[in-house]
Amino acid sequence: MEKVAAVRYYKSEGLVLGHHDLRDADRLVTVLTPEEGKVGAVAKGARRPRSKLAASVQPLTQACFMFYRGRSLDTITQAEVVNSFRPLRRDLDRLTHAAYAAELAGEVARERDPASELYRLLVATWEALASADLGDLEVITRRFELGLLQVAGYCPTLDGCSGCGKRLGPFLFSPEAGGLVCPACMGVQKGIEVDEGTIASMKAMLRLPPGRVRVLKLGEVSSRHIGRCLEACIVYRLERRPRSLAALAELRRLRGK
Amino acid sequence: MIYPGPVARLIEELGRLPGVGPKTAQRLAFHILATDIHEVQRLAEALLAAKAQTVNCSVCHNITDVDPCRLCRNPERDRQLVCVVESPKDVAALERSHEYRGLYHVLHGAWSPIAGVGPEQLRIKELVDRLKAGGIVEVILATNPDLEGEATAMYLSRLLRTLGVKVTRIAHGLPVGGELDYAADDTIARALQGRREM
Ligand SMILES: [Zn+2]
Ligand SMILES: [Zn+2]
Repeated sequence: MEKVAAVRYYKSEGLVLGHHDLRDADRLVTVLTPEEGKVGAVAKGARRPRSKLAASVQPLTQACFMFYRGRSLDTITQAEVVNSFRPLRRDLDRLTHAAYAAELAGEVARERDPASELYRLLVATWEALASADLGDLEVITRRFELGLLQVAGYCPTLDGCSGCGKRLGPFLFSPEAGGLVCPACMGVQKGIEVDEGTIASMKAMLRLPPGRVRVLKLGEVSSRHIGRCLEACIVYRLERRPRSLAALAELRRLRGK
Repeated sequence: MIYPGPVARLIEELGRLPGVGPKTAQRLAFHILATDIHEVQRLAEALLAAKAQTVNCSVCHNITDVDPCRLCRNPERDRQLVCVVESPKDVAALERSHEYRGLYHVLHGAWSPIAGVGPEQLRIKELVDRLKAGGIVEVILATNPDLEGEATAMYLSRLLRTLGVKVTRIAHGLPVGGELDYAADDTIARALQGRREM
């Protein structure tokens, strides 16, 4: 009997990616764990203000969870907050960037499939978004996008043409081809224009952890160019536009007012 | 399907309700089948009447059987105060606290980047129009103290800043992650008293 119980329960640190409401004040929580990948688990009574679980199952929280392995869904039996990333909740720009990273991580992670690299990337990104100057949120997010593509095995080729291997530019950027393509290989197909500086910045980004990427001091133009390439890659791989992009666009619109 | 057509259809329809899984749908269906026909009739009529005889108030968007709703018509309510909530259930919770004497605005949801709920899916434009029409001095943001509720409050405070009204947020006697609707009345009263400017 003891042995059975031990297998049914497992303990893991996790990052809360999202949630939705179930009946009776319950919540279904999506958690990213290093060992078990993406876990969908029920947090009973988590919508009640006095619930012990409520704070730990909030999206954008890092917590230590005790799960009970159910037949279809797991249940969270205990939880303790490790980091609530409060600065992310107190500023709408930080929050929206962090939510975007959470959404992408949730798309890439699979259930019962270890995801320790993605886990480390997301923690580092949330930490960086929580502590950085507001002006650095974009570059941290670009670093996350690049890291995400890398973890998922879709890191764009940046050393030369993905068609013929030619090392010298000019190049275009093609999500379909998986990175840089020379004009000859591109032919009549459409690519995104990239200059030397943008390519160099993307390569430099990959060498820096999310917490340090701000030292690159990317200009807004360069950041926008990189963003266009990476966003196209992500949309191509996910086969849809991430939902949080609309929220990021709305904040830009509000700032422009 | 092992059930006759009409029974299967009933189970299917019940199963669409929030929080009702296939097992519960089946149990409810058999309960209904075992119930006296007059009682079933009353249930069916109540369902239809609730839907057919209610609308969203054209002013505050709360659920009502008269338009504008009774709260919006009540001359004793303070017309300079508007309390913004996520759902009609929150209006009921705030009314139970007997602490608030102003008007309401029901958003019908919260801004959620992750779930893809944007401002255009909420009654935010209607709120802006209401404020532009004038007469409102303070907007109290009483969205839930969870991530989506906080995001909605921050978004609204940014958006409404330009309109020259005072924007306040209810205090956090309410713990993180909980919902207004499940909070005790005295907690809500204290949260209202301790609201701060955003
Ligand atoms: Zn080539
Ligand atoms: Zn009304």
